[in-house]
Amino acid sequence: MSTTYASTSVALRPLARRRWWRDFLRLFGSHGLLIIGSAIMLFPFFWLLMLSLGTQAQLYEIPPVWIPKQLMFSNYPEALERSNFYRTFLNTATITGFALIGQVFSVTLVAYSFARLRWPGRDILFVILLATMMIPPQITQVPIYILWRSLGAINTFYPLIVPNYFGDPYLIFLARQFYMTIPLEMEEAARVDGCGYWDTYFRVVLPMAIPLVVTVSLFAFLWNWNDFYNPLIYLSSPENFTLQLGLLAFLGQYWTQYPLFMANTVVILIPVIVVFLLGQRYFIKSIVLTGLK
Amino acid sequence: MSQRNGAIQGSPWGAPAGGSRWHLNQRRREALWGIIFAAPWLIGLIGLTALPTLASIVFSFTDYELVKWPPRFLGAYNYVRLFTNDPRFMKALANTLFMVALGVPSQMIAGLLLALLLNQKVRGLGLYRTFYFLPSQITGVSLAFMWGWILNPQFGILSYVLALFGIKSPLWLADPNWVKPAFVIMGLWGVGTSMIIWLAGLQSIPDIYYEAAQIDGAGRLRRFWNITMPLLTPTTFFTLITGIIGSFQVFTQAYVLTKGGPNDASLFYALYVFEKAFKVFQMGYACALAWVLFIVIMALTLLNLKLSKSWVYYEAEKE
Repeated sequence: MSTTYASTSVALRPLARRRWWRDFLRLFGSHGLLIIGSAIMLFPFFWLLMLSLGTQAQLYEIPPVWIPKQLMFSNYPEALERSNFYRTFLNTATITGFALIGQVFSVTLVAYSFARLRWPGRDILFVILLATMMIPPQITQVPIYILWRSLGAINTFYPLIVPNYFGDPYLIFLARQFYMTIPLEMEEAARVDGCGYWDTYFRVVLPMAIPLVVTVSLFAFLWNWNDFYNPLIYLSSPENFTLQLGLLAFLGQYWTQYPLFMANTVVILIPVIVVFLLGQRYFIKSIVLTGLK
Repeated sequence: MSQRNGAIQGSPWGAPAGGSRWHLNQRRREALWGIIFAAPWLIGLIGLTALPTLASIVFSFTDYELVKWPPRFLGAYNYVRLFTNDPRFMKALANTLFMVALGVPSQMIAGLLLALLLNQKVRGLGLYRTFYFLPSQITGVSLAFMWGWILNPQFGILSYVLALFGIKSPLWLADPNWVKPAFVIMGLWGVGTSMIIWLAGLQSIPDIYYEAAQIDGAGRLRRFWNITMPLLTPTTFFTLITGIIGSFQVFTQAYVLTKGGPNDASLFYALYVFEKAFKVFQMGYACALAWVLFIVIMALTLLNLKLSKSWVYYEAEKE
């Protein structure tokens, strides 16, 4: 037994060693490339941070100042004070909060109906739902704008919040795919016990769908928090501005104070980065589940 | 019909055992609740999609402007004007198609290369994936300005780095020839999403194919061309279609950094529609622009769908 083992290992040794070297080189090569790539990807963040901690004069130095000698942390409170930060933060949080509630409520409910309940026209409507994803927003934006205008809702948060209560088609599609993967037994048991449709959904299905609720919340958060286009169309007075609009306005006023502007940008990015890091695996899973976005 | 399909897709309540009254009531109740549950989206479909779409068609045939009521019916005038008497429309369309032609392939190739690197079961996969994926989620004004300074021709870091290699940096956002490539570079920073899709595609290829090919003596390159690429074609097709559609929506970076300039070189389609609709409030004309956009996207999608028959390989189909 042991002799066989020894002889084979001797026979294999040159080959194994060669393969080891090759694997080493390959691995080293891929890590090298991956590290360079990561550096390129992360560099803008680093650079933004450094600019936000520097002075205006340093911006114009060649070669560039990689790390300012004196880190100007005071840029941050100054930037927040001079920009409309607290106001715009509150506005964005309000819009995003209500939008998020709307998406979670409508998406989980509608998708449940598409996934599990039988009603006439359901399958045709589901195809229509998928088709609506192909319609560019430019088609409907003018009539929707006029609708809000006739309701006197221009320069309010309603046009930014209310549409979220009708369920985003992409998220409904995602949620339907999710429901398809959870087993039926619990619902069946609940139904047999005489539990109504609403109670089955609310007490049995929803508690099993917490990952779905988290995923929908994450998407709704990022989309609304980062949205620039709709606030640009609908909000006109500075006290209603969102963070994105506030940032743009701030730049207009303080063109010569770039580090302050960069500090403001960093503060706005922090919640996005935190939410991304917390929710990354949900994003990846939903991409895999739907092949979209 | 829908009820039969519902049973196939697995309704939890099992197949009803025939026409007894109880079952009929059950079915009706289920249908009722189904519609109630779907109501939010159904209302939205009518109020925020169907009716606005119809209104948009109607507006596109009028001279509707926000302050002018009632609008005058113009027939196809807006559409004729677009193609015969609006050089900026042509420019916007050409700019956007340029972005499609340059941006989509570079995004796809970069995404695939990153996915291939990450698919080698390297250590620290999660960390790398985070690094590459994170930037794709940064959008809006912050993204635009982060890059605005990097691309600054005089003091930007990119021109400095290029100078180290003895390359004279172009003026980027200030140069009509370079402003679009600059936006493509900014777009490449968001390659993470497509990378994740490629990675999912790569991971769905069973190892057994590679093992079989290896036994038959196929080298790495051969395996890539003859196994990976054919089996990835559905992913390729998907990223192509979504990439094209996404290119038509480029807006924020251009709006914030260049306002479409210099000399309209970065006047992208979405930017032009926005200008017409919400800057000069020519709503009717903007609707016509939107419908042309829709038709262009549809035409490109259908063309790709047709072409795809010759190169996209769906496993289930051939078995």
